[in-house]
Amino acid sequence: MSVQNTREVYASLKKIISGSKFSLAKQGECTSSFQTQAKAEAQNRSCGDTLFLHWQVNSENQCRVAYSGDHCALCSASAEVLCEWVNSSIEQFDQSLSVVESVAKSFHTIRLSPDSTPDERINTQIPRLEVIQQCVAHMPSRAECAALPWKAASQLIGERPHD
Amino acid sequence: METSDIRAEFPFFRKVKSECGQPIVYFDNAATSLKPKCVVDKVSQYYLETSANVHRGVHQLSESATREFEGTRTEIQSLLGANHAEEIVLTSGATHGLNLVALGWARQHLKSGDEILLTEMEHHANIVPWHLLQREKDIQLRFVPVQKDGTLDLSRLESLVSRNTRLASFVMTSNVLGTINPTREIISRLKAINPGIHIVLDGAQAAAHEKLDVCELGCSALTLSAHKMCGPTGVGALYLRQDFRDEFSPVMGGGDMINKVTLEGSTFAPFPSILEPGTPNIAGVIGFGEAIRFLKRVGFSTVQKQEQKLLEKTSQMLAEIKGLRLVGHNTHKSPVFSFEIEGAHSHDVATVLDKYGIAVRSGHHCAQPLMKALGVVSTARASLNFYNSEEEVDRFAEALIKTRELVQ
Repeated sequence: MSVQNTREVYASLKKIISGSKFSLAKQGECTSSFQTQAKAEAQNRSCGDTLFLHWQVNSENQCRVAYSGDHCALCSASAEVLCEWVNSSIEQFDQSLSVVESVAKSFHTIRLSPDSTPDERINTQIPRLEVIQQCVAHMPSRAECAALPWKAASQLIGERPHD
Repeated sequence: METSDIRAEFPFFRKVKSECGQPIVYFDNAATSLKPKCVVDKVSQYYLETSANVHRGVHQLSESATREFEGTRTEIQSLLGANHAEEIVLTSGATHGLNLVALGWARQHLKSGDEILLTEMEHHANIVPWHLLQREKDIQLRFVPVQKDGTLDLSRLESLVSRNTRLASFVMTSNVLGTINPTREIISRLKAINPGIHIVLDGAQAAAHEKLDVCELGCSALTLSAHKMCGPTGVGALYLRQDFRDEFSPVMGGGDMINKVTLEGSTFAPFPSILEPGTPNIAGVIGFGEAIRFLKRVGFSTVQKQEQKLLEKTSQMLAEIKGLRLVGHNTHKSPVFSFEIEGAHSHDVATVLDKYGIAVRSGHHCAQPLMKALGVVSTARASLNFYNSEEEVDRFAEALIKTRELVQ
């Protein structure tokens, strides 16, 4: 990847992160009307980062998924894409398990064959997922950074309280 | 030897270019060193011209391989100043050596209530084997704390050691910070309290940079890795002082470590064979011998002179970069620099530096307890070696400034 490509990759990641709606670090967990009811975490073995994914509920019984922790740009952007997608139809969260798991796997597939075309990658309707996948294709050693939020999501689906 | 002559021995510097078209500045030497051509040739020669197993064959190829293989053991003995070649166990690397001490000695000889002294500065290779042992034995681990400047807090040393401390195992040079620990002072203070204590030294980051003398140090064991000493990966050595070694039990069984096998039982070969079962990494061991001869040719005085020059220049350069924070700022160190760029994650810093042709490491460097003690999760790390040049430090500086703009 050229320096120019790197610049573009980071510009695309920063664009996603700067418009963050679901980062608790940015919003400040205390000021949010949402309260965390369940939390799942995933560890990045290479850098030691921990990403927390929160299942939150507010006083009107609305639910959402949000994330917290300190992460690299790719991990944060990937978490934002995940949250944006699951929150667009939060009632379907439990049904998203197989998609979440295959997205997590897809980053590692890209790692081993970064030249695969987008069509060969997982075909989902998840908005902006392709941006994250392209970033992984540009920096394959970082696949785990992108996969982290999706790994936490599959745990959260298993662990969150059900009514 | 001049730096240019040393660099001429590494084809890497002539042949390898980064994606940006410039030669790669390899500053990840604490992870593994580059290999000179003579080492690669030696490995290749074994496979192409000898390719025979060691110790057991009576044909000339096996005899030749055995001579070269055992020649490495003698090279290591001489490098470390050990009394006998039989005190050198050939291993797969420093990690293997530490695990051998845990499984071959500590598992047999430690009893409930015994203590092991480590430091917070250790690589996981010197923590996890002891955690594994704790699953079997009721032993206590004590840790010498690390101060914010990246040195050990030795004011606590005496309070952490007692008559129950059977073994102290610690790193001579930190893989994360480059800190050179006062090994001799630590050993003498530990032995003043407990003369019977066994000292195990992790020399992985030290052995290629200073002349070690195990007799003068007074250690019971010292572990090292060939690949951090310009040698092949998958090879290392564990020095075991004769009296300590004689207390070891075999950890793995197999060929080459036995005296006689019947269906009823086995008797074992003498040391060091008893700790070296199976066909070893023959090519790697032979390459390791060549790497030691190469280091001797360069000479430790040349190594240290060049590394000191690189340490001073890089320290000064990093101090001038705004928004860059060095993690640990002691000066008695090898040219290894852990740093953070304000507002950026270490992986992002390393990824972008890579695009400018600079290879550094990022992450926790297999030393998470040290990271925690220093109040960070991960760092970027530039680790320089004697074959690096001052021009490469200049390129690193330029790339850091551009990287800072891109990632912040």
